[in-house]
Amino acid sequence: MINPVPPAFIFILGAFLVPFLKGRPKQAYLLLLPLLGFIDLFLLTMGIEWEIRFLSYDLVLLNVDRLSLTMGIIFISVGLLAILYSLRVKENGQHVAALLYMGSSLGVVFSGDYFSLFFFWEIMAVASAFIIWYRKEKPSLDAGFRYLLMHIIGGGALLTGIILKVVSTGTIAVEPLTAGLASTLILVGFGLNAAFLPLHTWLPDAYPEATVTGSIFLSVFTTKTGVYALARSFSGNELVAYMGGAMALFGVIYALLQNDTRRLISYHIISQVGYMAAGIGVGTALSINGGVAHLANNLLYKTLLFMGMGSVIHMTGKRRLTELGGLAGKMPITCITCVIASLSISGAPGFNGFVSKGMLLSSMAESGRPLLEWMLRLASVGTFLSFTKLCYFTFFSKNDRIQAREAPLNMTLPMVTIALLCLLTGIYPGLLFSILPHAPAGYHAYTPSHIIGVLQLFLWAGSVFILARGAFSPHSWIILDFDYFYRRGFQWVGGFFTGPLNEWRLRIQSWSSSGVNHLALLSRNPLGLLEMTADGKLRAYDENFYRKPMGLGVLLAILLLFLYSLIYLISS
Amino acid sequence: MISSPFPVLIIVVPLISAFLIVIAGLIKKSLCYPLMILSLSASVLSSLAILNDVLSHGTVHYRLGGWPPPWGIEYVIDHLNAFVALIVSAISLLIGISAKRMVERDFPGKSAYVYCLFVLQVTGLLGIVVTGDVFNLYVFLEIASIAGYALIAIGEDGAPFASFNYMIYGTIGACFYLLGVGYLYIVTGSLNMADLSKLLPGLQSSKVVLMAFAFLMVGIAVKMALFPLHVWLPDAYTYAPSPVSALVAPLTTKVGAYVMIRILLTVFPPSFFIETVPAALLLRWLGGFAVLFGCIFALAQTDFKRMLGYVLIAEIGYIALGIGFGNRNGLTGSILHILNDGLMMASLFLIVGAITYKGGPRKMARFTGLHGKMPLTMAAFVVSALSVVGIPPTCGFFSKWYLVLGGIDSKQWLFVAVLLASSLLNAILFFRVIEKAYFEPSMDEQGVDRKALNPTGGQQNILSNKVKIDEAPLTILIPILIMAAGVLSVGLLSGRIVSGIIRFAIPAHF
Repeated sequence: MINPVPPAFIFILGAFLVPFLKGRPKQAYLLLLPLLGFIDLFLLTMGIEWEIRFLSYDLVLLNVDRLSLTMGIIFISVGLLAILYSLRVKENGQHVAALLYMGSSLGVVFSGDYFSLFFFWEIMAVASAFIIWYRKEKPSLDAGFRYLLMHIIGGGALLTGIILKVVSTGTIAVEPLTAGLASTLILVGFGLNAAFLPLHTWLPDAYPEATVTGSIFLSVFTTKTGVYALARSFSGNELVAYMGGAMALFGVIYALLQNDTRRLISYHIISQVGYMAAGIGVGTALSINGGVAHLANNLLYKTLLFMGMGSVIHMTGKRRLTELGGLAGKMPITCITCVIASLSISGAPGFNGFVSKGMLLSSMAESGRPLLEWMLRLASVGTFLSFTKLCYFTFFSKNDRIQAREAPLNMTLPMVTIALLCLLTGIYPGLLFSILPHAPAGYHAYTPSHIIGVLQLFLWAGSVFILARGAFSPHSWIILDFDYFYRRGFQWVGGFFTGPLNEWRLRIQSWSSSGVNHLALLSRNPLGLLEMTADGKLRAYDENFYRKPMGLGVLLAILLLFLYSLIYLISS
Repeated sequence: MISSPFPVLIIVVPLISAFLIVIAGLIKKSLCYPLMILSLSASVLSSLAILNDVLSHGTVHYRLGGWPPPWGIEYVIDHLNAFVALIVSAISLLIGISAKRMVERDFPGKSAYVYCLFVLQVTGLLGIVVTGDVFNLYVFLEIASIAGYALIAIGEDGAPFASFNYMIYGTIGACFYLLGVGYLYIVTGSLNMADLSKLLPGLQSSKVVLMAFAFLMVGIAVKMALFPLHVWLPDAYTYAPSPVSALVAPLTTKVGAYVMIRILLTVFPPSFFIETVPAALLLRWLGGFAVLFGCIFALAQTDFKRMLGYVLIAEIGYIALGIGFGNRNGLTGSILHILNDGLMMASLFLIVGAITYKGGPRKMARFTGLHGKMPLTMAAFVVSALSVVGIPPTCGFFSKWYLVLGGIDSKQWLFVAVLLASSLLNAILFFRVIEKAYFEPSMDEQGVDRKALNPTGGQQNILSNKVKIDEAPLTILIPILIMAAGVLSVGLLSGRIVSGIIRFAIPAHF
């Protein structure tokens, strides 16, 4: 009998062998790692293992229960597919960063104490920043830097929270937290990864800038670990629940306004994470199940969407909806899989999103939160609209000039696999239920009222799309186009979203980048800032200009001696 | 009482071989380097032996010339200085190994003298660490400093002036220290640390003792470059030759920090600097300012080596902060940081040395594409940089963890915030270098036409511009890699280091 190791180790240690391999053996090795991970998961037994005493704390590297096991299975499966998809990438560095990223996310999932959680959390932040940087273009370098800064700030908040918690409660184990400064700081740290408003700016900023293959890894791990961490420490927290609802709506609205395909999907990540956070915030068994089920489903279809859009970008070199279109005939597999993903994310009956959204909505109805329920319903409509738009303008609208072929097998194979999984879990929800953290207590997804309700929403939204297709046509002046929408009767909605809310969003975006700019200014010449008031221009820092006479330093030493002795004499 | 010959061997072997190196250099130049490595290895082995003795039997004493203290000079080694001595000797051995190629290329014909000064510098530093006598400490302080002035002065343009500058400040520091010792001697009539620690508790209200304390604090602050008396540091360490800055930058300041801890905890009763006079308060504030000042000014630098100088000022600030918290966690953080910072700073300065040895740039703006040219060096750089930022599992995280704990224990929220803010600033500092070195295309790929930059250049000039940068020679590369591995393994072992060594280095009642 082989003893299982924390799955994180397989990937983190495995990453260091990648640079020594080449060609086929490397590809085989990359695929071997997730398989080893699966075997390892299979060997795990429930309970706490790998307890290590470190710095007078009990660290738990392997805390296995239904929730962490579920997340482990999900992460390794999606990781396998993402590795398959990126198998052709030549640069070793990208593989190393991706494996470290994956391994550290698994580390977070299985850590039973905040210390090791933080440890993996930080590796995750750095590894993911490298994935963004690997695109090696100016915008992605800058975006990666902003991403890293925000995550280090979040990490700082998390660390302070953890230390405060350890000092005040004396235990370091991961557990549900009660209100207080420590838990607030930890919530900020977790929430930043889960893209809580207004800490979300890094997500739409950085994800579209990553490499095509990298953005798949990104869409999987960071936000979902955030959600998982929330489930561990903040389940049943009202704030988290309504934050989730707000995120679901917010993400969808701004996804509707995007022209860049990957930016559109990035805003949808915020929206989908909102669903999960809402489920966790409600905190009943059904809602947590729903949140986790939605997380699993979301990983499937969101990965599929990123892969599909990645294939489109890979084969055509274009990423704006205005430049795409007419690909249905040229890339049929990509087209069909994307449609399946869109239907799943919108929650159409028969697809997996339907099941998990149903669970979430029912749990909210049961626990008496009609407001939250309607926030999510509205977000559903928006999701449907935005993906109808995405599919229509990528695949079905007329475009004679576009040249493309179907993507290579290593890209289509994982896409088809995931599409089938989306259908499978949609039709046999039992499959999904079997891995959920709480035993499902007689929840039936396919009740007539639920199906009819969803279909009604779809019919309504679909007819809006057909009537107002012109309004959705993507242009660079797309936000103006939204006017059309509100002339048709959604006056207040449109007015609010394009007006004050959009302004607020842009302001937050600009705050975060101007914060970085100010730091940059400070970094150019801190002494110059003191002089700047006089002439308004910043002199480049030059040590020779600011070098002071030696005597001043000597005087300082003597003054300090005088001061010290004065203070000592007075105080004693 | 345990008596053992190793304490004196640590000093005597390098001291004697420093002069043998010069003599050997007159006979045969190639003998000098092996002789230096041998003597430094002997110091490492003796420190290991002592650490082993201390761990198994407790404090080790050695009486010079057999004179009993307090009349004779005594070397006393407990957990604290056994730990610091090992750090100093091991890091100087690694730097010594790497010095060969750099010294022999930059100072052909004078290498024997450079090696001699190098070993003398190490002797001085180790002497400061092992001695149990405050005046003897001053002697070693001067040995180390004078060797340091000479070593720094042989550097590039600007080095003689920087060294002169350093000498003025260093002399003030040493002078203040000596005055402090003199005042103590007036009151107690003793120079032995153990003896002083018995005599001083009754004399705490004496004005002379207070003045002595003020002199000592300011003097040591100059030596360890604690803000605002750091002014000599950036110039001196930027212009010094690479192997020299790799030796003096991490070690001299750390030894200064050791002296401060020793004076505060052993010579004076620990309650003195916390309760009797507000020395801890002053250290906290100066440390906090040092951290912020160092980080912000490091941000403004364009020269990588100079930036490291300012980072070093910030790191000294951490140690001062930890001492200033005046509790067990804070002191643990400070003592652990002596090790961690010694390792990571030595590694970073040596990496600069490796880059410049290969004709690479020192301006950070020109680091583009270095990753492809020196992959191993840059990998080591990333590890050390992560450690300065304080990202687990590198060692820098653990000392910061203890420092933050110390801050929380003493309810100094402001300084906890400073510690966390400095992590952010350090992240900006180092990640922008990493980003440059790894992800921005190198100058050549950007299509800079070398000839266009060099219109008058003949064959010679074009060739010299096409310096091919690749990995540094093994004698430089291996120490770098060992230190990077050390940064990681010390991080993973920090639990053991704290519970096995540092726990005993702090007085029990803390």
